[in-house]
Amino acid sequence: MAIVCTLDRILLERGMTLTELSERVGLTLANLSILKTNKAKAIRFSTLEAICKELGCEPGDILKYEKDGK
Amino acid sequence: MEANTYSPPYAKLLKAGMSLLWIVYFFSFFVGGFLTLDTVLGLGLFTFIPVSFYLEGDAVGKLFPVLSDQSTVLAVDMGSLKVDSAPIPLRWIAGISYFGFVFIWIYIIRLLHDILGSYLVDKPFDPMNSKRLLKLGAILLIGTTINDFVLGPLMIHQASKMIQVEGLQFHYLSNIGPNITEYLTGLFLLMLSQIFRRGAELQHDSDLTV
Repeated sequence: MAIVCTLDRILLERGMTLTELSERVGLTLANLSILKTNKAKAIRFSTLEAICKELGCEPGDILKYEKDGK
Repeated sequence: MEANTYSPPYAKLLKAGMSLLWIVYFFSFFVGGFLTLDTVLGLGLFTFIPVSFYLEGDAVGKLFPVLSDQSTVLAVDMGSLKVDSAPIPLRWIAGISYFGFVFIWIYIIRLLHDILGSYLVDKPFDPMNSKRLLKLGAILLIGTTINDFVLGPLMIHQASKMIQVEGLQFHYLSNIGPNITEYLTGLFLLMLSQIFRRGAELQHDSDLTV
C-alpha cells in the first residue's frame, strides 16, 4: 500500500476520538475505521474536505505516500 | 446509528419463493429416490423409459415398463402394443438418468434459493452469486451434452434390441442431437456470471470508498 492514512496521529494530536469525528463529519464509524486502517480503496473529495475542515488540516496531513517496503 | 431495516421490493414475494424452493428441495429427495427405484426395478408406477419412437407416418410412441409382469408397453397414438420386457441395462441407464436428473435438480434448487437469499439481504453482487450462476450454466451445458450424446444414444441403442415387431418399421431418432435452446441458455448464464463477477468487483470497490 503506497498511500497510507495518518488519521490516527492527527486525531491523537487534536485529542479527538474517531467516534467524535464521525459525528462531526457525518460519516459512519465503520467508514472512518476503513480509512484509518488503510483498507480504503478510494476517498471522495467531499469526505476529504469534511475531515480537513473539522480537523483544521491539509489533505497532505492525513494522507502520506510511502514507498513499498517502508 | 441507523438500524439495518433494509427491505427489498417484493420482499414478501422473495420470501414466499424461498419457502417454496425449500419445500421443493426436500420433496425432491423423496421423489428422486422413488423415481430411480421405480425405473431400475421396472415397477413402472410413475416413470417411463424416456425413449421416443417415430413410426412410419406421424405416430409417436414411448416405452413404459408396466407393473405386474415387468413387460413393456409401447404406447402409440393408435393404442398400445406389448413387446418384450425392458432389458435390465436399459432400465439401469434410465434409472441413472433419473437419479442424475433429480440430483442436479436438487442442486439447482439450492443454488436458486441462495441467489434469492442474497437479494433479500441486499447483496445481489456477491462474488458467490457469480459462482452460482457459473455453476448453473456449466450444469446446463454439461448435463445437456451428457444427455444428448451419451445417455440418449445409449438408451436408444438398448431399446432398439427389444423393438422387433413384425410388419412395423421404427425410426428412433428422438433424443439424438444437440438441444440448441439449452445450450444457448447455458451460454447466457455463463455470460451473466461474468457480468455479476464484474458487478461484485465494483461493489467491493464501492464498499471500500469512503
